[in-house]
Amino acid sequence: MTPTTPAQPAASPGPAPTMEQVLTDYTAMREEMVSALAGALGERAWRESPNSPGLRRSRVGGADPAAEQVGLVTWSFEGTYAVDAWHGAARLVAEVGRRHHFTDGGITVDRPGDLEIFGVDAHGGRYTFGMATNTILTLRTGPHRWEHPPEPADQQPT
Amino acid sequence: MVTMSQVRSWRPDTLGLVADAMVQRRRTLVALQDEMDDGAPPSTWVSESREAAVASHTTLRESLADLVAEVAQVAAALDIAVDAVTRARVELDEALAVASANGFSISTTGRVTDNRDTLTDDQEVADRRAIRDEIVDKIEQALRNAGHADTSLAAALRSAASGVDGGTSSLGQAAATGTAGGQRGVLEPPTGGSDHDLNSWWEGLTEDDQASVIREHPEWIGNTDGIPAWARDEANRELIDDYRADLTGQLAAAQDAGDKGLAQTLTEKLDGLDAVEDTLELGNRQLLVLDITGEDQLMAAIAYGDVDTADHVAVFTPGFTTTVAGDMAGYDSQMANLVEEAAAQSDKYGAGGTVAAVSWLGYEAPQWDNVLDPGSSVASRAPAEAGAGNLASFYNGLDASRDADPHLTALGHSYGSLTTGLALQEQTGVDDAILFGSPGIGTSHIDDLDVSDGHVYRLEARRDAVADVGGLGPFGIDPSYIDGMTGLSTEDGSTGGVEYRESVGHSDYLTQGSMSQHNMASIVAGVPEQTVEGDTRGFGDILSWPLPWTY
Repeated sequence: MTPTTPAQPAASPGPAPTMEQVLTDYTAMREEMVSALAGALGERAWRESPNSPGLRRSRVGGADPAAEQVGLVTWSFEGTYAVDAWHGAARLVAEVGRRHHFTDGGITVDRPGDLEIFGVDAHGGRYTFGMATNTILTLRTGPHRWEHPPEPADQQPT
Repeated sequence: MVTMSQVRSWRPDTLGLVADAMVQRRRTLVALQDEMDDGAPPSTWVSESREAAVASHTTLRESLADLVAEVAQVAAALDIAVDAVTRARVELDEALAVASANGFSISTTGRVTDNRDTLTDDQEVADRRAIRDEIVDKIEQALRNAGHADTSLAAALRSAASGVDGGTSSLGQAAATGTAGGQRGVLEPPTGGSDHDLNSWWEGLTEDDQASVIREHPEWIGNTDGIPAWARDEANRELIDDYRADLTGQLAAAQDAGDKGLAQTLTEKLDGLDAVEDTLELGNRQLLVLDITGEDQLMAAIAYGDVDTADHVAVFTPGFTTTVAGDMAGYDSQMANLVEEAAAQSDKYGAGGTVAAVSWLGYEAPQWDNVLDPGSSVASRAPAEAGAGNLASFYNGLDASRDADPHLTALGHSYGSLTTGLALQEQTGVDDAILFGSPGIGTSHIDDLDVSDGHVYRLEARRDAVADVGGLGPFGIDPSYIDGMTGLSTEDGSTGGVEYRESVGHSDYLTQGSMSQHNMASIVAGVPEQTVEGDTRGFGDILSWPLPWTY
């Protein structure tokens, strides 16, 4: 029987920026994405998702055992843009992503009532933008080292 | 143990009046300090009689201090007993109210009887049984608390009657000594109790007593099913340093004795503790199991998210070659990814709800070293059977520890699917089961699993040979052929417009962005309509086809 071992992530090309730098850039990118959508399709009540697990830190192993991946708090709003604007919304998000060095990862789902796209960056980071009943925007970094890791006590379940 | 009629005859208000009177006496006695000081022989008294006067005054002062301590001890013990008996009476009243509201009666001896006529519907029978169990739990907990209050008060009174040393300091200090002596010990958990009993015990403790248990007796609750996750987490974290010291000491002894095998085992357990601490450092984790007593391995379970409050909870059980030292970090990362994906689906499709997932390495999974040992070999059911009891109890404990049951999903991979399958043959609160890369689930018939029809899923990836060995071992037939299991896709492609990456081989099922991970997240998040079904039987399944009349 083959051993059950977790899959290892692909190695990142080149020296990776610090986690702090990446999170700053991702946060700015998310703001730009939401602004671009608001400019083209109107304001929506985006907020941190109440179902989001919060800032998600995990170790991914691989070449640098000290590197971590972080999932940012998911942003969402109840409902979606008008259905005929969904593909335009996805294009806007992808354009902002490209300005932040993300390449279009592709379409995860495209069927009636359900659209989801994703983009990836050179270090294994990923954004997801999707609409079905509600609209979500998730961001997850590739493996990076923290300059100053947050205190675990600040992140315990409450 | 005290009886229900005894507790109902107790008068905590009367006891409270006695306690108040004793407190007043204590104050009166402590207020005599000035008179005692004024009555001391003055330093200006110079004669032979002064020595006798000083001795007499000292004796009087110390006797008074002893009396103050005794009165203070009784006052404190009475005060605590009043609270405890009042709580026990309230718990009994709650039990009576629940019984009355639901058509049950309780005899004076505490026997609970369902007044409803004969029930025929299975679900109704189960619901009535659950209500009855809740009433019984409340009564038992009330009687335990009342008994503990009675025993503690009796002990404090006996101690006071045999004398309490008030010391040689002030009367105020003597009162403090007596008050400390009047405190009761924490009620210990009921031995042999069910997870509901243990939860009732825990919930019956005051917050101070709970804090005391975590601080002074963390071993009582760290691995105890039925205790809330936050408390288990705090208790197990308290134990890490003690366990490290214990294992380090054992390791030194093993090395001194030249026992290389034992030294290796202990070193791996210590490495496992490091892996646990490294994972906890990441935050947003709960340490739900930490057990160093395994013959070969450290056992641990770490949750990502808050198991006490999550609407959806998944418990993942891995298999062959799994160790805490080698695999906890990786599985924790995969569970964090799964939670993220499930929560995103929960948001996007509007079903809503928070998600938590547990990497459960709470059994000694078979290892390469034990392949030839029939008691712990991967080719036998023994390790899985040993783990299944723990796992079933863990599932049940999750429900028992919460006011509202979560949507609970069992995930079992490889040999861990056998452990999971065996656990699910006991009564658990599992709502959905996902078995992937499975060589067998311990049965060839889905009806043996205590999971509702249509809620057991299987996944098999291309080129996963392990998933085709069913029938070769004592695990039941290849799950691909078990009627009633829903096959979920592991392929890439565009079924229903969904495009996900294929999972290939035995260890790719939980990879981020894969079809299999998406499908598992959909089940975990309670949106099964978002799954992509698929029958991924391949060439290996032809070889593992069971002869219909052989099982």
